[in-house]
Amino acid sequence: MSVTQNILFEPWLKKATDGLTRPVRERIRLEVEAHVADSVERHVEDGLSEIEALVATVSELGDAEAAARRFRRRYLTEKDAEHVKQTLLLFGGGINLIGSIFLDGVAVLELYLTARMGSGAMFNCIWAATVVLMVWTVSATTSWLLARRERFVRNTRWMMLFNLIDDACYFAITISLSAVIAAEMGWMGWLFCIPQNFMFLRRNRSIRVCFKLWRGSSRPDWELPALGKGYF
Amino acid sequence: MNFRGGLPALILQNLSGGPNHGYRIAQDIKSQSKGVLDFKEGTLYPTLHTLEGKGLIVSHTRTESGRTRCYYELTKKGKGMLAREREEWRRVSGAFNLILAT
Repeated sequence: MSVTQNILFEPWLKKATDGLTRPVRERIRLEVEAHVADSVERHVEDGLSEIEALVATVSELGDAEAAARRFRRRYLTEKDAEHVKQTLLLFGGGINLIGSIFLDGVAVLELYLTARMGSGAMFNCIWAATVVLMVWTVSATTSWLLARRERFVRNTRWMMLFNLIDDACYFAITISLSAVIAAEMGWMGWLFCIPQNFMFLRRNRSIRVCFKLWRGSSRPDWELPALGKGYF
Repeated sequence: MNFRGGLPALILQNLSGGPNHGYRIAQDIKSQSKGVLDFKEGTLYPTLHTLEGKGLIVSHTRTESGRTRCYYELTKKGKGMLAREREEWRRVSGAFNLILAT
């Protein structure tokens, strides 16, 4: 590509691929560069100068921001990829393993207590809490196993889904506990929800990433090559 | 002419004639519609990538006279989708004809 082509075409490409991961940017560059070269060639054959041909080509490509919005809806952005990486580290790490083992113990204890209890409102509450806790335990343990697998990239979809389930269980339990504490202590009990509020932005990104991965529009196998085999 | 939402069907139709690359797909659609369906070519690639993500088309790169191009090809799933799109178009355009031709 000539210097003139670079000056006119590069800003369009930079804007259209802004925020996407490197493998995706490279693929789009490869395609659009060939497109621009073909288009310039045709315009030059039609009698335009090289600069006129390039201006016409970039104009035919249209609004770079519109293309960028559509690419970002389809692919993981760099921030999404970083989020997946952080989730992998969080879920594959020792703290999650310790947490899972602790949850397993609490869930078994709760199951035992639930089995020994009779009926009544408290029994129903504990039974519901046990179900949530069991789901939380299973999702935390499964996430740990998926995150530890060497070829984890193929399991990214499942790992992110279990991450969301895990988060939903944590949300349900903290809100319920806050409500119980608030009933005893007044509004101060709701301070227990503060960690959940801090996680709000993180959860939003998790939902967005999960949606991209499960809709089938994203291809984590080549969008996240750095997170593959031997990451740990 | 604005034909938002119709581009995927036009791409699938174009690829039913054999593998093709982005620039030629855009030119084919414009020339076959005699310039009526004029769209911004930058929106073609997100649509192609989305169709690929859905498994309706597959891509492979080919180098021709020093230029690397990404060729797209219709899959079996894509052929099925194209048949459904054609049927839907016949049904909808028939209904429009019934109303607007009077």
